Amino acid sequence: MKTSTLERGAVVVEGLGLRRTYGSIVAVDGVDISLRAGEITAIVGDNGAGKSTLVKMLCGAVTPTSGEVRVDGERVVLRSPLAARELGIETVFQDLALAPNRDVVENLFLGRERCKRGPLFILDRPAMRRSAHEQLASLAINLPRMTGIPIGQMSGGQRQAVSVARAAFWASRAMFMDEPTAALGVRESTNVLRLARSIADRGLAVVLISHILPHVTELADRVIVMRHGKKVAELTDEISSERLVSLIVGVDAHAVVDEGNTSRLG
Amino acid sequence: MDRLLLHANEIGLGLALVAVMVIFQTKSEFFLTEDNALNVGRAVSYTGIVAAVATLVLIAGELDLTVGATLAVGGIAAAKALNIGASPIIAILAGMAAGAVIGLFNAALIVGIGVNALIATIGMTFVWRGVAFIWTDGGPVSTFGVSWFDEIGAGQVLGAPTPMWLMFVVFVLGGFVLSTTKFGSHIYAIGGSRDAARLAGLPVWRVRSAVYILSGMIAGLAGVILASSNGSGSAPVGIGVELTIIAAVILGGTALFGGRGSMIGTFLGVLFLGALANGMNLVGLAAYWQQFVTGVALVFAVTVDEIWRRRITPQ
Repeated sequence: MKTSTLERGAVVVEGLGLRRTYGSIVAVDGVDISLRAGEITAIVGDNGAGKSTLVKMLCGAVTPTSGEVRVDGERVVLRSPLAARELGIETVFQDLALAPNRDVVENLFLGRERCKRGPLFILDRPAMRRSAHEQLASLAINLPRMTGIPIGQMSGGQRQAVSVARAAFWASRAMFMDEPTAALGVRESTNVLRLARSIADRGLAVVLISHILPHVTELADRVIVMRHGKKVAELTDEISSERLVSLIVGVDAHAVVDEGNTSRLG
Repeated sequence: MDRLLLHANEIGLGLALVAVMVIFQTKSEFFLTEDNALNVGRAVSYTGIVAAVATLVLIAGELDLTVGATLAVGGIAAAKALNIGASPIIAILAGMAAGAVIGLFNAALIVGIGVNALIATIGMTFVWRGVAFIWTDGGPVSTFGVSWFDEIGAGQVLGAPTPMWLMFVVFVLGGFVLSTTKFGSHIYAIGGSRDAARLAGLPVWRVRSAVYILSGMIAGLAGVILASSNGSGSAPVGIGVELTIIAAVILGGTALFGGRGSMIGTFLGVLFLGALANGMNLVGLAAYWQQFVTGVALVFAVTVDEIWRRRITPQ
């Protein structure tokens, strides 16, 4: 397991002037964003506000039309999620990146299998099983069976826990979660959110996109509000659902500017 | 992976195999003899070798129907090589290389361009079968008498036909690759969900291409063995054999759409179909009935599998 040596609060990943257009449509329009070690940053906004596109530019799934991404202060070009992953930036895709016919251990190591020495790439199953157990235990994730049962036969919450555990396992800088609780029940959601917190407490920058505002207010250290592709506010305190709703829909936005905190009007 | 399912499948097929053996033994005293067992072994060796690799192809969620035509092209390539003075080793490599080229074309079409595997390999079957006929002008290309080449298909090792041993080797290697290597693990993952595999960062197109090239290469090798056994490479060999091969693989519990399957299952499937054909010959059933019975066995197996799977899977 990789643990971050970053100082809490240090900026690990940042986007400067990120802009992405699709033909004549501007999905994200010049957004600056800083993700800090040990913090959970939530990104909220209405459908089409540009949240997902913004996150995808930071995790390598979409290339910016203009603007730059910096990791530890150095400019990087993320050509693919794989490139981001090599820099310790992981993304939890909604249940989609798990192989349904494989068991938990195999999914945790999917694409990054540990092999024995030699030219044949023979899997080192005992080693993978051991570190999978350690990782899941350290995140207090309980699963009925780690091997021998295809993950497709587990519940949505268990699968999401495996997704999150996998990202946490490999992330050394940042972890992005796009609507991690969308398909889950109340208890399962709580578990996933608890995981997000314990991962941030390890010193990673955690980014959460969510429509569920109570989750955001409960969990986030910092909230970025997006509207029409622009960042309209960035809050670090007095985060309440009412305030977020008014920012998301755009009423009373001037009041936020008048408060003179870090928010700006796009 | 599907441990429980695989076991149930393999056990069911094993029992069916035993049942077939008991039935034929009561009808013909020759069925359970050493000689006849070796007959079955020899008869299934070509299809067995190809079926072992077809298992990888199907688990990866791919389909290669060109293997029948590849059998012909591989055998002809080896025979042609011998006729221009090549050694048996070079001839074998020529057959495998011809198969690899066919696999490369399949990979380019299916993985590179994205043509549907069913359509692409049906089309390429015509193409390569055509090439085989054009290349040989329809006649056989003799392989007789060149050093030890005849031994590959017609020889014996430790009292058993060489092709049978070669089939065992391919199955053991295939099983090893599938269950213990990274490549095997990737084949299962990609066959289970290609999108998931891509998002997880697996080298999806590389694995898919490798599977087609491997399939061609090993089908080419089977073609060489067949040519050696026949004493010639010729264009009309292995017509329609791709369907028998896929039947054996599916019978062995491999999912047609990928993600699930095992070498042991395919091995049992091959033996089952081989024993069935052999037994029906011994008891004097007409060839028409053999086709009928094989078809019924396959449809029965997939039906039972489907019903059972639906009962144990949630939703």
